[in-house]
Amino acid sequence: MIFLSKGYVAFILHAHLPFVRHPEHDDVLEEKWLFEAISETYIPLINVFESLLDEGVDFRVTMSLTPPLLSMLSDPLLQKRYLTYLEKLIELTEKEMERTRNKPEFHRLAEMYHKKYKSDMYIFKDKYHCNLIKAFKAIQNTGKLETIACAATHGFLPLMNTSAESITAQVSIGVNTHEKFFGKKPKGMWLPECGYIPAIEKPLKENGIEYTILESHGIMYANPRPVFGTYAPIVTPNGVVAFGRDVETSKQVWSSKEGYPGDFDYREFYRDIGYDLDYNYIKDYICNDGQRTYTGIKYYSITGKGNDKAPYDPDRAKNKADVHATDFLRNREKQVEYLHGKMDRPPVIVCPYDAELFGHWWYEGPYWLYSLFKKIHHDQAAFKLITLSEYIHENPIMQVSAPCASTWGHKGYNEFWLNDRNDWIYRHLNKAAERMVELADENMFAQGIKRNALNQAARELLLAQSSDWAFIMKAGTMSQYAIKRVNDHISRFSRLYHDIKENSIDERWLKDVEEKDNIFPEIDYRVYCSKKKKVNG
Amino acid sequence: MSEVYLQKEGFMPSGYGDSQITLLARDPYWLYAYWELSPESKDAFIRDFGLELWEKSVPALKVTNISKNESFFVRINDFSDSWYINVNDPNCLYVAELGRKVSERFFISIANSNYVSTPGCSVSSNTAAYFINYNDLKNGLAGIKTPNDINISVLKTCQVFDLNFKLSDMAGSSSETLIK
Repeated sequence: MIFLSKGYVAFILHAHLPFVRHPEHDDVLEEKWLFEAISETYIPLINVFESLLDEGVDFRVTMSLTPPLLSMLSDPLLQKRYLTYLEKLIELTEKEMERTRNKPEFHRLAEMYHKKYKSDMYIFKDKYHCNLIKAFKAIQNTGKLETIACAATHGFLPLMNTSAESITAQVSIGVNTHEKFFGKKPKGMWLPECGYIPAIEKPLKENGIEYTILESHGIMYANPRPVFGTYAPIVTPNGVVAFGRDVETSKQVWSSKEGYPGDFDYREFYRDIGYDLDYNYIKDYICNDGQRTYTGIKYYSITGKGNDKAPYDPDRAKNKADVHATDFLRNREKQVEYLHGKMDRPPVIVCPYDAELFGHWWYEGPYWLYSLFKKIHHDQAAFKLITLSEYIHENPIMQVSAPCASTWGHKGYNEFWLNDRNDWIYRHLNKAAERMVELADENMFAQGIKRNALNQAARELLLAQSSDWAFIMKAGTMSQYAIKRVNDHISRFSRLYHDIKENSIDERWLKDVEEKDNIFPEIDYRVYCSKKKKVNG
Repeated sequence: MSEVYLQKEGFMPSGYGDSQITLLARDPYWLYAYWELSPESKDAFIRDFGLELWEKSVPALKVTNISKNESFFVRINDFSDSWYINVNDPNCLYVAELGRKVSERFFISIANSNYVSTPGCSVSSNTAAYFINYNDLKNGLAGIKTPNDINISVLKTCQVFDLNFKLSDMAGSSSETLIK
């Protein structure tokens, strides 16, 4: 390959939602997280990638789709419920077009949403037969998108340090799930919340993972000091390649104060008709229990810092996104130019973001990506986009250095997941992990109903370990739901533990729980066997 | 405390009947310890040392910095089952013991924790740079190269990356940053 560019930019999109599936109820508010993300992020991103492909734009992006998200996207019940969600939104936008017919500034927006949801229906139902994973897989197969794995239930690995088996299980189930859905073994793994401790390296290596991504200071504070900072990966003493997040590009996109998404021309997230309109008008389109929720239909721009908001102007917003794409591009050109003069290899600027930023939190985000990738392809030659595997392949000489334990959470370590709002969960999670190892070691050759119970115990533990619950408890939104989830999974696990130990498994109850918490159908509880047991057999 | 469970959703045990202490690292300067003291352990203490010693002693954690061979006590109380512990040293290995403190020099340990390391929080002073060919590593031909001419020039440019890098420059994670 002839290398003319002076450096590279690597975009990583991390797509994740916690596993939320409640067959026991008809209308669950929390299931809407998935439906919103499908309409606001995943379909728009698929549209962006497909448009770029159709237009012959050369781009590269690395993406993780976590096992809980993959499980939900492939679940027939949730697929059916998403269709119902869309049908209601299409109906609502028809009513909105009628309601706003004399207000042109809102009417055109109602029309915009109506067109959008009808398009979503076509893409989801007709084009991809209700399974969007097919779309990502097809894009992966073009070579422009590299998909990487993530831990089984996005468990927060740094606080699992008392159970090596827990970390191993999260990693290996994550890798197996990725292979199941994408048809190939992943080379990289996204660590949940970029949560890294040295103990994670061995399970990564044992499961064939070549690289991961750390928060900036995970690299900058590595020992010995990384000569190239975050602009080249390091290889850890255990042989895992670690890339570091770039500080500059993080702020430009992430920050609600300084970043692009806070621009006054962009759509205001919090002014949604689910809250703005008369209750009797909107009640059929929010939750069955009468609680107001977001519909996704929003008519105002951020406008300014106060509460007065102007009607959203999509053309103005699109122009602003183009301006911001150019701004990002020019800044990267300068950055690469500067770094190129200092390094003996091409720098790589690593830009990881939550996928849901694009479209859900920042409505114009997908278009910004589209505009940016086109500009990168057409308007400059200083740098190219690259996947992380490609960078490793082209630049195999790396510094050996031990990263620093770190996360990309507030203050850079574990505090967001360990504080007075959520610290109570860890005694239960760690005890359950200890017991799962005990059960696995004592029942290495279980069959029949006992095997089913052991597998379900493993599922309950994994679901309890989702980092999302601790995060939500700290963030304070929907914390009752998060508390309930931890309680439910730990109590189910505890019951299974005792039932297995006492050989008194309630088959009907077990079947009910298997139906509710049906993630990882092929799970093998023996992933929790201790090393000692595996060696001794 | 024996564990009790009910055939009911959402019931969490108040305890597991163990005498155990677990240590977690929150950040470079804070640890979190949680523990449980079973009635059997208390009975065993009293049997071995007498009720008077139990009543005269106070519950405490003895926290040891293994890396520096230093320790200190944290006075707790009989109603607490967790504690945030302020430590002085990042990048150190710690262990904690749950026990009874009779005097400054007399501590009776009841349970020992796991080992945990506090993360680092500064750029390393070690500037020795070693490089490896990752392909050799992948193919099982690993050998670490000693610093060579390239490395020397790189070491000179090392200062370029010793920027005014502060953790406060971090943008913070995803939704947490955007949630207003």
